[in-house]
Amino acid sequence: MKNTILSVGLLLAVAQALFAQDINWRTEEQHKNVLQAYFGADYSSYYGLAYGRLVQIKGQSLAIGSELTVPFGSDIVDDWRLRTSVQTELLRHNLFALTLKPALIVRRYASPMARIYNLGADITVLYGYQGTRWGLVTLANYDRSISAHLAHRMLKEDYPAIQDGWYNTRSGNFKFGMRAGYSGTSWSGFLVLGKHFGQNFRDNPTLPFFADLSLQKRF
Amino acid sequence: MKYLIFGIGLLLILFSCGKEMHEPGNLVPETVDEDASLPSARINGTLLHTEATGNPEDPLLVVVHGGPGADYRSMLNAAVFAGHGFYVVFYDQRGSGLSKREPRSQYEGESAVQLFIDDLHALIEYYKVSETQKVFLLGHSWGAMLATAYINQHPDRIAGAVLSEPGGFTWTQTSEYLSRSNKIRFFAEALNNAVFAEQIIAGRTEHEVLDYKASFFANYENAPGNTIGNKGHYPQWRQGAVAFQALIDNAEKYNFDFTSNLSAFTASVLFLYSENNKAYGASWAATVAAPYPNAQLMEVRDCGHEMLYFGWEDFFPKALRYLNEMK
Repeated sequence: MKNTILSVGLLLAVAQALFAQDINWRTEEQHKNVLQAYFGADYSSYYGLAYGRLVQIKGQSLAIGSELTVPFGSDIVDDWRLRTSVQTELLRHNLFALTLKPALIVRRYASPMARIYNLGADITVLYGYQGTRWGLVTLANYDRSISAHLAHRMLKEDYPAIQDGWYNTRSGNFKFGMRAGYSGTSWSGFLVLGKHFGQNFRDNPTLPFFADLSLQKRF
Repeated sequence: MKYLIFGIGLLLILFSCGKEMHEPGNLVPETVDEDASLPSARINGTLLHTEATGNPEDPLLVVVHGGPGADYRSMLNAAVFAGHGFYVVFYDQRGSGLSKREPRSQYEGESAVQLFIDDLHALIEYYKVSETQKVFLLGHSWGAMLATAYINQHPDRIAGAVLSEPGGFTWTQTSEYLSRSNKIRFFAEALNNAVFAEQIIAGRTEHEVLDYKASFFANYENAPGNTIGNKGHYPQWRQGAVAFQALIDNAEKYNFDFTSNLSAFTASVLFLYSENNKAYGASWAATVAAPYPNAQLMEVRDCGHEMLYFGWEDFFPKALRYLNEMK
């Protein structure tokens, strides 16, 4: 019930910066740098800042960058997520394109119960229409948590034999959604909406939906 | 790009070494089927974590914990009733606390709540030494709801009950209470503390992992500024995540009504509510208690919902006076 109440409560406010550094490759003027601010909700409410740089390697355009996401809350440094990604168009047909975006993720979680450092990786696939101004693409993402270091606090009071240390987490979440975007001469705005699931489609996140609103400046 | 993919692959391999989260005992305590030193009894087809204290021939006082999916650790204060002429029985409900974990399918049918009622019935029969021995129930939160569900079906088998803040006796009532008690504070630290770890521990099926993850979520209601007035964390052994989630899903799907036959229970019931639970209060207590023909309502001072732990000093004399009168 608690899960349900939380889910319903968060539903309207709804990806953990999954979509920051989104690139519209069709803008009339291609700048080299991208700065993006975003906020939204997925797992919990959050805000963040991303920086990316467009580079050419062997004729292939790539966007390389990092994003730092912090949940809202009274303690702004206890939980965060740092994601470093590379983005490129794999296929293009007129104004339709298939984009691939692999990333490495480092996360920190802390509460009175425990502190966790986590290493993960994710991959996002986007496909859809992207004009010089407007774009609408579908997306699929798999966020794989690989390993975590657990240090217990209050949980140790309840269970003194609990073992701190590195654990295999070997699990992940899927995300499926849509991204709408509008681009001006040197800026873009993006709205992302979707739904996510645990990889077994049973142990799902409390909040089943996500949303992300971002504003991007290119220079 | 191929170097990046190679690099990610390499990191995946490098960081895939470490302890296993689902190894029994690593992150959550072992259950009675894994640790033979824990007190247990085979009840209604499962193995329950249970213990009793006092003279077995005294009136039985069965302590029914909250949740669903919690355990009786925070209710151990009630053991002192043994020194006042009661045979006090504690148990962790099916799939909860240190009781044996059962598959989710056990809780998915329309009769899931009935299974918990039948467990309680079988537990009473297990501890009862004579037909004339009086039986009392001491239920907290969901435990008070389960106690009422039992009384609704077996009004002639129970001599009295101490009920502390049952959310409601119907699903409609309970969901209304929960919408107040677990009110979302969207930008609060407590929310991050409850759900942020879901992106780290995700998509698992093992009870050990699910129960561990649930412990982060369970603390939401005890965070500073919580609605239900708890002063902080209180001791617990182990969450029963599958039992909790499945029973909630079950209630949403099938609903429940534990009041249909309460009019047949004419004995007095002590109905306690806490001073600091902003989601409860005297008026909600009166609403919930109404189907009982003879309910005494009392406030327990200087505590919130978890009154058997944080409010024991005021709870105990009130409960003892009632139980002595009914003995």
